[in-house]
Amino acid sequence: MLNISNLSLNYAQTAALADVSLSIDKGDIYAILGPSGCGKTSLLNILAGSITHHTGQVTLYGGAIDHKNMSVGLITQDYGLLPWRTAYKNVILPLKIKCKDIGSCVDKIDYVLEKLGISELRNRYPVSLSGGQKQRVAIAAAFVMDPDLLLMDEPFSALDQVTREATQELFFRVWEESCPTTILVTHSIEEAVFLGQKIVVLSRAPGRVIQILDNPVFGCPDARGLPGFAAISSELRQLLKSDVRP
Amino acid sequence: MKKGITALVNFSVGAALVLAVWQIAHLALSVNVLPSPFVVLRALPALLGQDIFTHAYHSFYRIGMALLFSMLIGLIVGIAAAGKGVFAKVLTPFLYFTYPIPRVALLPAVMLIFGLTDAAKIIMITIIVVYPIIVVVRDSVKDIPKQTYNTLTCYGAGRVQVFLYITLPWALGGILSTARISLGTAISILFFVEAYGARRGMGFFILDAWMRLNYVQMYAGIVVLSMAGFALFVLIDIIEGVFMKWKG
Ligand SMILES: Nc1ncnc2c1ncn2[C@@H]1O[C@H](COP(=O)(O)OP(=O)(O)O)[C@@H](O)[C@H]1O
Ligand SMILES: [Mg+2]
Repeated sequence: MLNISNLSLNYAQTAALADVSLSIDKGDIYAILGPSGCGKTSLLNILAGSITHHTGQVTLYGGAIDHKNMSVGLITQDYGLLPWRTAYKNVILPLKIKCKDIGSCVDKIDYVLEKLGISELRNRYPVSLSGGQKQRVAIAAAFVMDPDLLLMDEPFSALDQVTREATQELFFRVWEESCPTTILVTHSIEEAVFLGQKIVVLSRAPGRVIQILDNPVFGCPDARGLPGFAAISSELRQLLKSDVRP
Repeated sequence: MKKGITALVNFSVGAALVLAVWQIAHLALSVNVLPSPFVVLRALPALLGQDIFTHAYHSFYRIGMALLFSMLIGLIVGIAAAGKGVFAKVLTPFLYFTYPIPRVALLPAVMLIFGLTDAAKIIMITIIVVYPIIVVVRDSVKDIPKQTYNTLTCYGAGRVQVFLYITLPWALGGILSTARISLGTAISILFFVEAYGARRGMGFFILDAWMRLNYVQMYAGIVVLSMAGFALFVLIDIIEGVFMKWKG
């Protein structure tokens, strides 16, 4: 349903993406793994509509991505919350933008807030929230809009180890209830293996697809402890290492 | 509550220090043009019979209107100047060219055109106060990090929504941060414009007392004008407390 074909992107000084092609089925979660600077953020920004000078094609349900009429969620590295809106107002922002009636969504909003454990933070402003809390607010905002496509840019990388694992697990539990089609980009092998049904490995800049792997331990309870987790992690590490250029 | 007590302590300490410096200056200079602050304070109640409220009201009104217009114009022009449209292209050189003009010197022109009216005084204060506001708003809107727009773009927000949800709140934050400086400037200019062709206002009251060589009354007028300014400062603090909570 999401088709990316021959996508290339050049900035004035650098080439960011080279001929990336991908095809993702509805309800899949793809992890895109690559080193820093390989064009991951650029790729998501193309899908998010804020970069438009690329070449190649992106289609969602057969047509160009229509951000106005479809719902595309975005969770960024810096969480993307508006500082002058409370946690709650940030969560309902996508609904406001889509001119949806908030009253009819109250149950869903309450449910998501409860599930992510941020009900008590409703009236707090982002300045007074920890990184993990801000992240959960951003995740809540993405889920209340029932996204056709969910884009995540290294969403957990700014969190400490313990908070990161807890937030990843929490995210996964919310995700599997509705399985929105998701692209998660990351430089963390561990994160890609924990959250990616398939893992796309990108090369150093300009990013091109080196390989797409099926993840055998995806969705397993306690995946991190399984031998398969270590196995695929080391396979990925080899792939990333083999792509060294002088 | 705790904040209120801190404010009260700060106010008391500040007032005591001002009185102390004033008293020392009075003793050191020992001239009749600088009376003791206590003599001046004792003269305050007597002023109440002197229409002091009417004078203070007129000054308040002029400052209030001028600040209101300045912020409104500053917001609109500043945001427009931050854009990429034709307006921004025309406005930027205009701002750079007119910024260094000593705008106070335009007072005679403004009074010739608008006469000895309240409007002339409000326009004069506005002309001076509005410039820095325009520049601050323009710069703050230009400084909005590009990523701020990314989520809204992704949700498919239109131009009007981007303006309402990002540009406007951001610009309002910028304006409030300059409100105290604007107020200080407005009070200074107020004194100046009320010196010419005014029969009402604290500026007139102070200069009138000066002409009559009634120095105690002159200083009393300065104290009242300062208190009015202080009240407006507190008002800005309160507005900031309510609308800028998000800055933490
Ligand atoms: N706005 C930009 N202008 C110019 N070059 C950019 C811009 N954004 C990113 N780049 C460059 O493009 C490459 C890919 O960047 P990015 O997509 O941010 O990578 P990643 O998210 O994988 O770290 C980098 O070399 C970066 O320096
Ligand atoms: Mg990045």
